[in-house]
This record gives sequence, C-alpha cells and structure tokens, in this order.
Amino acid sequence: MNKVSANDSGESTLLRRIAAIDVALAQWVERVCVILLGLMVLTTTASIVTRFVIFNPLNFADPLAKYLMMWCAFLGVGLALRKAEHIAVEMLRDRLKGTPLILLEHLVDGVIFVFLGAVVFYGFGYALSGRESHDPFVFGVSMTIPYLSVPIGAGVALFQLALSSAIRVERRRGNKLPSVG
Amino acid sequence: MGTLITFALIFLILVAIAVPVAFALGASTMVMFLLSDHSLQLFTQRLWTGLDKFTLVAIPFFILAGELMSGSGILNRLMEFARLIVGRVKGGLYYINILVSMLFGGINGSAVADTSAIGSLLIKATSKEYDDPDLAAAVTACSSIVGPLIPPSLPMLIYAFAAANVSVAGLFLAGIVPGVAVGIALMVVTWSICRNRALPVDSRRYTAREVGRILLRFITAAVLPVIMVAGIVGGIVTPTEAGCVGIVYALLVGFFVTRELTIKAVYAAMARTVVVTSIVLLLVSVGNATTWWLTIEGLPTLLSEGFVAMTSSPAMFLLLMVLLYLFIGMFIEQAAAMIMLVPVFAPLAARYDVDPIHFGLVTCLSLALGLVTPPVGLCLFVASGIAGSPIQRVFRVSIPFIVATFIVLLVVTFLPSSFLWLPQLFGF
Repeated sequence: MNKVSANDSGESTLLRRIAAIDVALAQWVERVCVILLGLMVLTTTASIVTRFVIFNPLNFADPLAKYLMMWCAFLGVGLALRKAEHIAVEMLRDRLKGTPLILLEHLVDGVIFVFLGAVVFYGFGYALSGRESHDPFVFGVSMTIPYLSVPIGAGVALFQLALSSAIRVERRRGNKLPSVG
Repeated sequence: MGTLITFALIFLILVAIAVPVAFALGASTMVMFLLSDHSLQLFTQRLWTGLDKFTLVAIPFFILAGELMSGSGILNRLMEFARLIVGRVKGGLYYINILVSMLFGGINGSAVADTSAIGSLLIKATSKEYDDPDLAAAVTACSSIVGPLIPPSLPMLIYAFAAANVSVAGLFLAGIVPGVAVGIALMVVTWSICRNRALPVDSRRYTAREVGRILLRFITAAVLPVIMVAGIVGGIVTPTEAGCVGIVYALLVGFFVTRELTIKAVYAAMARTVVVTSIVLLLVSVGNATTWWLTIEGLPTLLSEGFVAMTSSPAMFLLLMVLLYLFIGMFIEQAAAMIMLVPVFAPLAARYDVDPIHFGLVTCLSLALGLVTPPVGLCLFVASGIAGSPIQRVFRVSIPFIVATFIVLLVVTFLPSSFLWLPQLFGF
C-alpha cells in the first residue's frame, strides 16, 4: 500500500495541475494549428478556382497562405517537442541508464531551453522592427504580425518544454500522474 | 577555417548527446553568430526569411494529401490490385509488398510512413503465411525506399527547395525510372530467395467481373499521383497548387467514394500534418540561418577549392558524394540531411557540370539507403518492431536487398542517361 505524505500529496496535486495545463495547452495549440492549416487549404483552393474559373487570381492568396504556414510551422514546434518527434540521433541516450541518463536529458533540455529563450528575446526585437512595414497584397497588414510567428512559436515551445520536463522529472520520482498522451 | 571547425565540433557534440538535429544546428549557429559578432536579431530574421517562400506551402499540402489518402482506405484497393497482378507467384505476398510500396509510396511520399502503413497490414500476414518474420520485415523496410523516388515525392520537393535551382517537375519525372528499377531489383532478389523454398501459393481465380471491379477501385486510388504529377509537368498548376488539388481529391474520394474518411479522421490527419510540417520547416528555417553564416564565412568557396584540388573528375566527385551521403544517411534522417547538405553541395555539383536533376536523384537515393542501414535505419526499426524480430536479424536478411538497391544507385550515379531521358523528353 502506498503511503503519501502531506508534502508529497501537495506536490502531486501541483503536478497534476501542471499535467492538466500541459494537455490543455497542447490541445489548444493543436486546434489553432489545424485551423491555420485549414485556412491555408481554403485560401489556395479559392485562388485556384478563381484563376481557372474567372481567370482572375486572388492576389492576397499566396502571401496569406505563406504567413499562415509560418504561424502553423512555428506554433507546431512545441507540439513536436512535446511528443519527442524532432529528428535526433539517440544512440548515446539509448545506452545510458540511471543518473547519467537523467543528467543527459537535463543537458538536452537546457540546450533547447537556452536556444528557444534567445529566439523569443531577439525574435520580439525583430518583430517590432516590422511596425513601419506593411504588406500591400495582404490587406496592408503590419509585418509585425507575420514576424511575431517566430518569437511566439518559440515561446509556446519553451513553455511546453518546461511543462514536459517538470512532468518527466516528477514521474521519475515515482508520483503517479494522469497520462499526458 | 578555425570557426568552421568550431561550428562542426559544437554541432556534432550536440547531435551526439541527442539534442534534436534542428536545435543542435540552431544552437551551434547561434554560438557562431555570437563569436562572429553578428546580432542574434539577425539570426531570428534568418529564421523567418527561411520560410518566406510561397513554394514551401507545398510541403504541408503534400503531407496532408498523403495522410488523407492513407486514412481513406486506398491501401486496401492497392493491395487488391497487387494481389491480382502478382499474388499467384511463389512468395506472392513479398511481391505484393514491393508492388504496393511502389504504388502507395508514390502517393504518400514518405518511406517511414510507407513502412508503418504497409508493414502493419502485411508483415504479420506474410510471417504467418511463410513463417519468416525477418524476411517479411526486410522486404517491407527495403521496398519503402521506392516511395521517395516515385512521384509525387516529398523528399524530392524538399531537395528542390534546398537546391533552389532545380525543377520539381523535372525531378519528379527523373525519379520514375530509378524508382521502378529499385522495385524490379528488389523483386529479383525476392525471387532468388524464394525459388528454392517450399512456399504456399495463392490459387485464387478471378472472374472477369471481379477483375473489372478491382481495376475500377484501383484507378480511383492511383489517379491522384497521376493528376498531381501531370498538373505540375504540364505547367497547369504549381507544386503548391498540385498539393492542394491532391487534398481536395483525397477528401472527395475519402468521403464520397470509399466512405472511410470521417471528420475525426480528417482532424487527426491535419494534426499529424502540423507536427510533421513543423519538424521539416524548423529544419528549413534554421538551415537558412546556418547557410547564411556558412556563406559569410566562405565555406562554399573553401569546399569548392578543396574538392577541385582533390579531383577534377565529375565521376570522382559523384563517387565521393555518394560515400559521404551513405555515411551521413546512417546517422541523420533523409530530410534533415538534405536541408543541411544540399545548399552547400548543389552549387559544387554545378561547378562540376553535373546536371542538377541528376545530382538530386543521387542525393535522394543515397540518403534513402540510410533508412535501412544501422545504426539509425528508421524503416528497419519500424519494420522489425512490427514483426517482433530483433533488428540485427532483419538487417542481416536485408543485406541482399540493400546491395541490389546500391547497384541501382551506382547506375543512377554513373549512367545518368539511363533515367534522364524521361525528363529530357518533356523539356527538363
């Protein structure tokens, strides 16, 4: 029979909440990305139809589809990270067990964390540099909006990575948490 | 030169400790930006400009079209057709596996997805029928290499973006002959393995009505790649638009013809597409920053001078490239390797007067072989997992198939006229 101390119980509740936030965030990001992908398909389909039917392509369709793709791609980085689907060479990791494996995982997370953190910080600077520029083809939209896809995508990935790491660490300690599948 | 070595060292160390390739590339490039006094705001700008190309929209569209077709029951239709054609040959299920890979791989365009989808349908059945799970897994893994060669092909699309100066239509047409050649080579190896074995033979007879029904069901499924490739080659649609046409067609077939597609399945296919797209496009984006820095540091010139000093022969250059690709393909997945290497080596190939379409095919096929060679042979892993056989045993059985594919690679490398006639026929 497992006895859970008050402290353990408190930590477990906290981490259950983290797991719930992790799942909710992933679901919302996934929904947004699916909508963006759907809009890309609709925009390009509309462009093809107008080009072949009324011989007048939609000028905004191509750049709009491109901006939607950028948002979709950068927002999806965190989803792939959460599912550990980014391409990696795992020969060394597969051979490790116990503490060396834990240290290696922390190191890998640390590298990704620093990288994403820098992209968020400098990405916002880059996005703000687009305030004065506008895309005349896409309803005169400020270029800050497409530029923001980089730091916001990296920020979401950073948050998702932090949640996944916290859950993994706590699971290793033996706490039972709901599946974050 | 010192900075390039530092960059390579940081990158290799990060990759070795299992940092995902895109992040390893990004982090090492970021360090080099700092060491070279370039601002990191410029780095993020390069990340954004890496995706600032409308043609890249084709990547999620091709992936989604493949995902939707996979979910709309076309695999069963292709299987019925393959059984009709080669089912009654001794070891028929192995041939069906190869033929379905040739047909389905063309639609799906991903070798790993091909192994997973076909493997889950055929490996168990074949193992049960012939009592040889190792061979069933080996045939499934090795035949999935054909997928990225037969158009429409996602790796070729990625190559075209990475090389920047090559026609997607030309590449697609050029892949047909080598794709079919690899399929035939694999069938010959299968025949030589099966001929002396006492294997049960499918004795099913088909009526004319059944044949007609199977052909009709097959045409519904197989017409998609034909529409997409014909549209691109004929200049009617761009590759991006062809991808979109593929999605609409897959939806129509899935909802109204096979009736196996549901809203839930479409959502799942779209969610899967988002993840795969992000993986590929993050690599493209980071690769753009890396390529920019490497160009500023003069790597293309250094590399070019180094190669030219080593050999002036285009054949020797191609041989060196094949060896390099085979080595790198053993560790890094095809798409990632292409995004990192092609921007550097495609201009070098042009300097040796190697046809860009020829170089594209050599690149795609060499790196695809890495999918079935240890230590990181993804297709081998997936197939052995489904078969429940140890990967070492599956690899041992795979060796004759890998050798056969390697022979086709040598022909593709040194006899380009054997397959370039097809794109040339269409003016590419």
